[in-house]
Amino acid sequence: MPALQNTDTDHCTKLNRTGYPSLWFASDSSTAASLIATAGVQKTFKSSLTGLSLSNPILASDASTTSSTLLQFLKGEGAGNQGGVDYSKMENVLLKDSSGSKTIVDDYFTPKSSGPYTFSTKSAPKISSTNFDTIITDLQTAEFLLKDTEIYNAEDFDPASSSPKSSLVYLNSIANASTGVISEPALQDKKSKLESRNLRFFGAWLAEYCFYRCRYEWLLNKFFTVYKQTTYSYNSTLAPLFSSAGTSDPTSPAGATPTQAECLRCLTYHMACLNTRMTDIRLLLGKISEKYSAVTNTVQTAINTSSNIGSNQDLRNKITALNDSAMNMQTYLTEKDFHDGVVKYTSEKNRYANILLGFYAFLNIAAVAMVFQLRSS
Amino acid sequence: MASSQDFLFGALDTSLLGQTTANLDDASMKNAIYKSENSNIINAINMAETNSSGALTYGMYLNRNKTIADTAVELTAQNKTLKNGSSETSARQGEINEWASQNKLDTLFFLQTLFLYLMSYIVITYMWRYGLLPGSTYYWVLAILTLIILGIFLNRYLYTSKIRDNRYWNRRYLSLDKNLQDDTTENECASSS
Repeated sequence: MPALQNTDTDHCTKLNRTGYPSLWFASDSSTAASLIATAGVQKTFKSSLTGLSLSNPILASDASTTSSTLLQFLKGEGAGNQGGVDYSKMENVLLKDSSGSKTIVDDYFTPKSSGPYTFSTKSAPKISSTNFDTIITDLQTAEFLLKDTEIYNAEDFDPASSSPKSSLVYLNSIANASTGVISEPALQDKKSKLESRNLRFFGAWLAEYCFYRCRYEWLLNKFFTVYKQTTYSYNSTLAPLFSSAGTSDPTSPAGATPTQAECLRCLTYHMACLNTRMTDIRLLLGKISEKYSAVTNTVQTAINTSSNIGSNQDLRNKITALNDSAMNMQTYLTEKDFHDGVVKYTSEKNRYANILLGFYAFLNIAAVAMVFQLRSS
Repeated sequence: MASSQDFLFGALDTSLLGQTTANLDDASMKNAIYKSENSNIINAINMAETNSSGALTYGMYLNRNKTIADTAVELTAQNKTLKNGSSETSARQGEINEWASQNKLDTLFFLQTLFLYLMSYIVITYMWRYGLLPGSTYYWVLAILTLIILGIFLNRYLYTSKIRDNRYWNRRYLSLDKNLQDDTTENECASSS
């Protein structure tokens, strides 16, 4: 089952727009400009979360979750409601550490940006490829993403290793085969946390991505509306998108009322900034995907390297040795049956010989008695 | 703002952007962008989730291999221990029983011979007493029978105690020690019964 079912349905519309109207809204919303920017400066996801009651469900109540593991998780089903944490609530899905809520763009991208995090061009991306690697490491260190060793750690299966065993593969291996539950509560808690970690990150990713996407779509809608106007008239609801007049800022009009060109330039600037964030967030997932693909390849290589314990060849060798040993054992058991039969037969022979010995001893005693009788008479 | 536009409509075909204001089909352009964006989300999340689950699946596969391999090694070791520990016991018990049984049959043979000797002694004594056998013949026959019975006893006793193999009844014991071999040279033709 995929994380998201491949349908034409917009997955961003499955988020709880009613519960969080300031985060996600429709592209025809009439009041969105003030949610997007203030005086030409875009509002961040982090600042938009401030003051919100995050105990509402993250998904809309009528959202269909069938055949999508991520949506089922965000509905609080399966791994989404383990270890006492209900991941159907926004507050449990958002990334949090000891210093409070974290967002991908504001806490990981913006500090790594070359210059102000506005918009990238093909020749000058704001976030470089090496930055993505560092960001992934930071996310793993903050325990927002599973580390390689938290998925599979060869040391966990080494009896000589004294390090605490905590990889997901190890925890799954000691869990009850039918229920998937570990009897030791601490280990079960660890397993639940690890199982939900990546899905929670993908949930937080989706929430943040849709935050930028619904703004982008709203601006795109406005862009075409303005662009198609043959007789231009300024729509004052767009005012929050503009900065003060007469500056060099791309959102700044020359006069008090922006012209059509200035309006389009302002909308384009905001869309470029939003699209940069959306593209970078997608690139981050691509890099995460590559990283896990490398882990998959490492484990695959381990399976296919004959010298490794647990490799296919190693397993074949041990099964062959077991088969040989079983054949020897079969021969041994056959011989043992035969020898047991021989023991029974010789025991019976001994018993018969004892009877004869007793009988002949008696006969000889009688004969000796007769000889003495004969000698004395 | 030209430099920002390569990141502006990432999903939009450039030919659509070439449309003039008058004939602009913005609905289809927006639809294309929305579809592409939706597809981007699905692909990005599914790829990442599939790869992270893939790592887990292969990890479980490797672990399953290792568990089966460990079980196979354990069973092989158990087979070896079982075989080494008791494989000779019943065979040896069989040999002991066989040796004891043959030894009893040998004793039985002597007891039967002794019984025959005593019966013969009684018969010839009666014959001698009733004058059917002269005194000198009686003593000669008695002496010969006594020598035969003593010969049989000594032969069986000495062969079993000195020459017979302690493990296999029907095998003679042949020492690799030269002195012992010399000692047993005279018995080489002894019966192996």
